[in-house]
Amino acid sequence: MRPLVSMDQLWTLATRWYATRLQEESRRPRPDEIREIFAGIGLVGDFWDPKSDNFG
Amino acid sequence: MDFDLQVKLAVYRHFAETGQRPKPEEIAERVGAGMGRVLDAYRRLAGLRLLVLEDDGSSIRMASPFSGVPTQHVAEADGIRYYANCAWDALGVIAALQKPGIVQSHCEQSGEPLHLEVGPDGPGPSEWLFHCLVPAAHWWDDIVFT
Repeated sequence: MRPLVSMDQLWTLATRWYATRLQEESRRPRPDEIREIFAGIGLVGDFWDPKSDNFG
Repeated sequence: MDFDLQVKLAVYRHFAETGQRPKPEEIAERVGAGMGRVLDAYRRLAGLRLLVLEDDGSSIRMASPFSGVPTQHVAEADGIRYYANCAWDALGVIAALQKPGIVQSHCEQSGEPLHLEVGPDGPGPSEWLFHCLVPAAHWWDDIVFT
C-alpha cells in the first residue's frame, strides 16, 4: 500500500509536530510518541514505525 | 532559560516574524551574545535535529517547519510568505503561527497547483493526498531529501 496521507491527517501531523514550535516548552516528539501519533490517525505498519528497518 | 533554548527561540521567532532565515549576527544581537557562542549553539541544536545547517556551519537550511531557502512549498499568513520543507511543513507553518493562512504547492506528477485555505481547524475538505516517500525510520538519513 502506498504511504498516502489525506489533508485531514496531514493537518493532525502538522499540529502535533509544530503547534508549540514558537514556544519555550516545544520539543520534537520522541519515537514512542511518533508511533502513537501515527497510529491515532490510522498510519500503521513498518513504514510509519520510526524504529523499524523492515518495510516489506 | 538556557542559552541554547534562547538561540532556538530567537531563530524560530525570526522566521515567524520575517519569513526569512536569520543571519547569525542577527541572532547574536537578539540574544545579546557573541557570534562564537551562537554558532556553538547552532551546532548543538543541529545535533538535536532542531536545526539543519548548510555546509558553512552558519547558514540555516531548515528550522522545521520553516525552510531557510526557497522551495515549492509556500505558506502565507498576515501578508508574510514562508517557505516550507514539504507540504506537511507548509501546514506546519500555519500550525506554528496559529493564524489563518494559505498553503500553496503543486502535484509532483501532474504539476497541478495546490491552493489550500487553512483556518484554525485546518484546511477545508480536499481530495489532495500527501505521498510520503521515505520510511519514518530513515527520515534523518538525508532530511533534505526526505
